[in-house]
Amino acid sequence: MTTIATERKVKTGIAVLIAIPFIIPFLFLVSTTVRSPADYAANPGGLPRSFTLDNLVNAWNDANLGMALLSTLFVSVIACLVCASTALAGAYWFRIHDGRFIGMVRAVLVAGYAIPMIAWLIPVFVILANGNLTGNLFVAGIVNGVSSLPFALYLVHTFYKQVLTAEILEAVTLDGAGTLKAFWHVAIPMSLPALASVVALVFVWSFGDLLISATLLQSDPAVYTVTLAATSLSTREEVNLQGQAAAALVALLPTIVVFLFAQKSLAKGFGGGSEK
Amino acid sequence: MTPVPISGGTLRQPRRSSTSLDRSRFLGTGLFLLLPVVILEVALFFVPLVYIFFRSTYDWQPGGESTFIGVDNYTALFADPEFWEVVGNQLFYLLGLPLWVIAPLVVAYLLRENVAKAGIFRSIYFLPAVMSPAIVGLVFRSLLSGDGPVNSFLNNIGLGEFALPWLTDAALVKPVIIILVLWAGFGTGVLIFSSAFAAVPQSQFEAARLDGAGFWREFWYIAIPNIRSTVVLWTMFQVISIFLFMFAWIYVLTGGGPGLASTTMDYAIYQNFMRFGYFGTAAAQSVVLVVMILVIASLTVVIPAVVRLVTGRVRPRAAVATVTLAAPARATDRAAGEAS
Repeated sequence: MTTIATERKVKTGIAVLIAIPFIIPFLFLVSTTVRSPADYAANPGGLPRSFTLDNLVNAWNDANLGMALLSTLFVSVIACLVCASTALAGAYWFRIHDGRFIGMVRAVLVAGYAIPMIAWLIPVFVILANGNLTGNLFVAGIVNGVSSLPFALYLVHTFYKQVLTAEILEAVTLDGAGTLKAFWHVAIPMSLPALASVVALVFVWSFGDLLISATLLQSDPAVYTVTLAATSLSTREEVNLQGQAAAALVALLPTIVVFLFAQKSLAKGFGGGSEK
Repeated sequence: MTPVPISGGTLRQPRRSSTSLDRSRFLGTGLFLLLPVVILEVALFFVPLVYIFFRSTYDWQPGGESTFIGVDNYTALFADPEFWEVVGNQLFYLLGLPLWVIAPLVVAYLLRENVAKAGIFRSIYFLPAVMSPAIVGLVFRSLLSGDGPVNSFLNNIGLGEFALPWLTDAALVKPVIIILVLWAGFGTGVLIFSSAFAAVPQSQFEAARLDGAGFWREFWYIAIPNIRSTVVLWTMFQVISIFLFMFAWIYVLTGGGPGLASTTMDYAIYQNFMRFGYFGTAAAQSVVLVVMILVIASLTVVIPAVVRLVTGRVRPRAAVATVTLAAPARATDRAAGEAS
């Protein structure tokens, strides 16, 4: 028995050691945010000996972070709505239809995941620019939502295959429920766990996106998302490292909150919905 | 060994009633449910892809006069040593693949049993998955800068000779980014492998233990074979990620530098288009990137087929699983488990 106890200690010790690099960046971020620049300059690798909220206030004002947070929230909510609604509907259709050709169509839609975003985003940008639709948060939200659509479709479809069994589908059909009715009253209520995963994932991805916002929103600082605001802050000479750290902290907090409340859904989502 | 239906769903395999029911159904039933996905994907992915291919044959001037130049964009691109440097970078990054796969695999196995609070460790490792790569990139850029905290700390504890210019040295920057990619994806890998391990019958491990197998033997002969398809999927996922999702990291961490030493394909395309205005070059480069992805995707069909030929093993679902990029891992593993 002692060998098991020893093994437990050794293994837990290794797990603690591995955890260190995942915690340090946070400690650094928080400590840099609350230190005075002079204190940081004296000893960047040491512990803070000062406490100030000036960095946070300055960054908030310099990068217009309040507005940026609202913009990002708006983009992310639109992305979630677009992605979740279309993925649920599409996945249900693929669940009630079968066959080789339909399977190929589904494979193509899911394979959209592997199309380089930059390759489709540039033409989309050109087309949007022609229609004067760049710098538009609503459009950016739709683009963000669609960029996650292949993964979401795959995830919900996998889930449907597990919960919407042949028996259930048969019973629904025998009841004489139309497709829309069956989708609305049977499939959607049963898909809540998958829906939670999709919403959590798409929110996190669109909140953290840089490529779409750097392409579609770059020209207008009034609609910068929080990642764009925080990263462009770092290119400004007058903003110090403390200000950057403060902006980074503000940009990270919302997704960390989502993480704390929806960790299970997120974890399931990353597994592609294959774990129950 | 039973062949598994391509549509997945191993569990309902003996019942064909659902299939026959579905076949009898008119294809158009509920078409309005399908149309939004198809329209959105076609409009945002597939039409733009065709458009960029079309424009790659032009001296493309968006908003102005474009002239058809045939394959000139491509010949210019392939004659450009900078393009090959970026392709080289992309291949160099692939050297991180064993690390990105094996590290989470071993740790997921380590956390499988007999570890205090394993769930908390998994959560901590998983945290980077929810954080914006752009913002995390900012944090690491500060941490790793020449006079930053990491070097300052190394100097403080007397390891000054290891205080290196992590992100500004052409030879160092790619290995550093490989480690950062490990940092970012590690927790997701641990989670995925952990749930795959959870589906392996405990009795197999017990039997191995009775035979006197140690940690590594058990890992190699029991754990890995049982979750092989999950390992293949994760490997694919990592390959795709290094080709497609590096933009934010590179943009923030290094700006592609020093020189082009850390530039990836997606970042180079972005720069060519958004910053330098080489629109036709960017279009041609996009097409090349898409072709590279297609080649890699077909390799994942070819390689398992070759392995099958060589080893004589029949694994009906392996190829399908990798083509669709993410097949239901657990069902596949169960099938593999039954097979062996």
